[in-house]
Amino acid sequence: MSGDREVVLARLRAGTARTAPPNLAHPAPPPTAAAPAPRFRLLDGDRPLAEVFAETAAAAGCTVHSGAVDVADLVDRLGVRTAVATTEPAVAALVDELWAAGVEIADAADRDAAATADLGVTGCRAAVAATGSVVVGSDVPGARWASLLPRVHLCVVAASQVVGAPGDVLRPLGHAGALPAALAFVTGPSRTGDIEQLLTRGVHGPVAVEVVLVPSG
Amino acid sequence: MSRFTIGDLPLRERTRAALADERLHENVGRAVDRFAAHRIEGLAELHDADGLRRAARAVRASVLADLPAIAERFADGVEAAGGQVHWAPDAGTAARQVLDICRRHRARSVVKSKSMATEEIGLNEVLEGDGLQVTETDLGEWIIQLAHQAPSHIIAPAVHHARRSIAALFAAAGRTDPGDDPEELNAYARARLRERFLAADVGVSGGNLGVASTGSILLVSNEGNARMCTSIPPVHVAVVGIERLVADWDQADLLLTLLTRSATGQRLSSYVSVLTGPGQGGPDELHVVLLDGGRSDLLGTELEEALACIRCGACLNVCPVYRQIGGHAYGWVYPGPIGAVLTPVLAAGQGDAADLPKASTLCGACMDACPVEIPLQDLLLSLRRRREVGAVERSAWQAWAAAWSRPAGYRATTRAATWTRFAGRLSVGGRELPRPPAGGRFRDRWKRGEV
Repeated sequence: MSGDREVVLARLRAGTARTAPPNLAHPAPPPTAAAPAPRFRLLDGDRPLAEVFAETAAAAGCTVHSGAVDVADLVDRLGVRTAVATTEPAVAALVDELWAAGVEIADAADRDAAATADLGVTGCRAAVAATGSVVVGSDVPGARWASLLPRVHLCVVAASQVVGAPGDVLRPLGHAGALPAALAFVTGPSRTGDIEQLLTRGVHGPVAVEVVLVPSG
Repeated sequence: MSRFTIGDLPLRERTRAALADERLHENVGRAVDRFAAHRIEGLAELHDADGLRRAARAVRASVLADLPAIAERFADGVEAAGGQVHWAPDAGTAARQVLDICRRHRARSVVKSKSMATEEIGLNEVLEGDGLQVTETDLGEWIIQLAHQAPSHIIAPAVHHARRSIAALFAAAGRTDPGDDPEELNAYARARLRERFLAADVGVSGGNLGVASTGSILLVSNEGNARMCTSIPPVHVAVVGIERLVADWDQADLLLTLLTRSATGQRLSSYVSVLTGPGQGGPDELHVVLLDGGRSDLLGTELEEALACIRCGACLNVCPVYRQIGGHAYGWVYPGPIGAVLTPVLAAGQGDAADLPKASTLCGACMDACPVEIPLQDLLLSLRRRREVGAVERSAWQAWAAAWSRPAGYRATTRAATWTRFAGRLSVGGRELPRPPAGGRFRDRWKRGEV
């Protein structure tokens, strides 16, 4: 096995020791390790990022609730009887309201409960305005199940958590200390177009994503 | 028995069958038109998308120039995060390494998310040959698995199937409902595949990118099956081509932005996963198989830039040849322009792989669509130049070059060409000789003052 490592590295070194003939028809730019950050037209101007996020999240297929959410209505509309939730402080108030509305709630870290639950409730590490994404990490116990297995994913986002571009979350990763085992950018519900290119939701992840965007403070 | 037809039939036969298939043209045309249009919309949201593509080409070149160090750094990072790295010089070793991991865990069932690299190494056949149940979980891949076929498009592997044929496949797999409504077909797939996720012993994925600075794997999916394969089973194995590595997160950010917008026009796919080591509720073990499989042979050659490919499928979506013949006619894992370049190298010696660069009009649309500016047209020409030319053909080219290097020779051949008007309708290989113009040669009409 370590022999294989040396075989592969030796081949790679032999390859990089060769010099490829220059392409005269479409000359290559000089190799450059520095990668510029993409700039998004959606972020032009001075609009509050939370406002842009609300639009892009909706465009990605999320239902966005600005401020507060009518829990009883949501439970009724989505037919929620069971839910799993993380223990993040950001979701505590919502979890209380769900209890009050008669929903049975289990800990999101219970994967079996998450696999059969109607609703999964999480907070997030960040939200991305240019794409309408929420970012959840496995360092929050149960966040990966609650955002993937139940029929509906409900995510609480504080306005102060919204950043502009995916790079604002990704680029610092190399200097941020240990990463969670799994970080997920969730951009709308699960979707497939594999059958005749007709878009269908809910294969295999959640069929719907509800975002509760709360003002900061 | 391989699902790949490259060894069975010559290219000409494969394309002939595809050209006659109207259903294929409808399905492929609809899919590629949609993808191609969305790509333009997706890139339009970026300032200076072409500048980003140019920068991406430069970034990929710098990674390839430093690949040994980046590969070592990546492996160290994976191990520091608690994962295990297996280096695979060739396809056979890679498949065996995955099989050994499965055996060590006495695995019975494996779930897979879409990975072209695992197609290359014939992983499913190897695992199934050892008695393992292997389930493809990307819906399109599951469909073609049921059909015992190879994928026909990098992004939409089942693009060639209509709902009726999919319903038939599901019926053969145990679905009792009749009817072919796509919503119901999708619901069946969700229920059936979820059972497999929850029961699987090992999850196998590919990797869209490997980021060396943190030893992380970046995976992109719309369905969520990649997240499920890589977090539910107790063991996760990722098979990653050695050319998919990048040095750091700045590079990954740039390529990810270009990848999803070039592939389907999406700002981001529904799920982008960054996996760094096992644990935190996920798998107990994470294994990365780093596959060379012929890629190192391309380094330092005129074909090197083919390694920059991030497998977005944009070149397929604009290729006039792919549109007409679909993916299967290419005969191997990768179709379209990039397939015509990679197959002769990675599948060298199989069937008529060397002929694939002929399946191109050299229109250059692929180069214009490529997010990392791979000069595909130039690579296709390089491969064509390497083709062995028979003695008769070589003499014909030499004779032509000799004749047309001299004005007298040129005049003589154009005069001879006008004699075809005596030949009646003459066709060669299915193409008719053009008729000479009514007034004779241009030079004759010029002399007569008619033009």
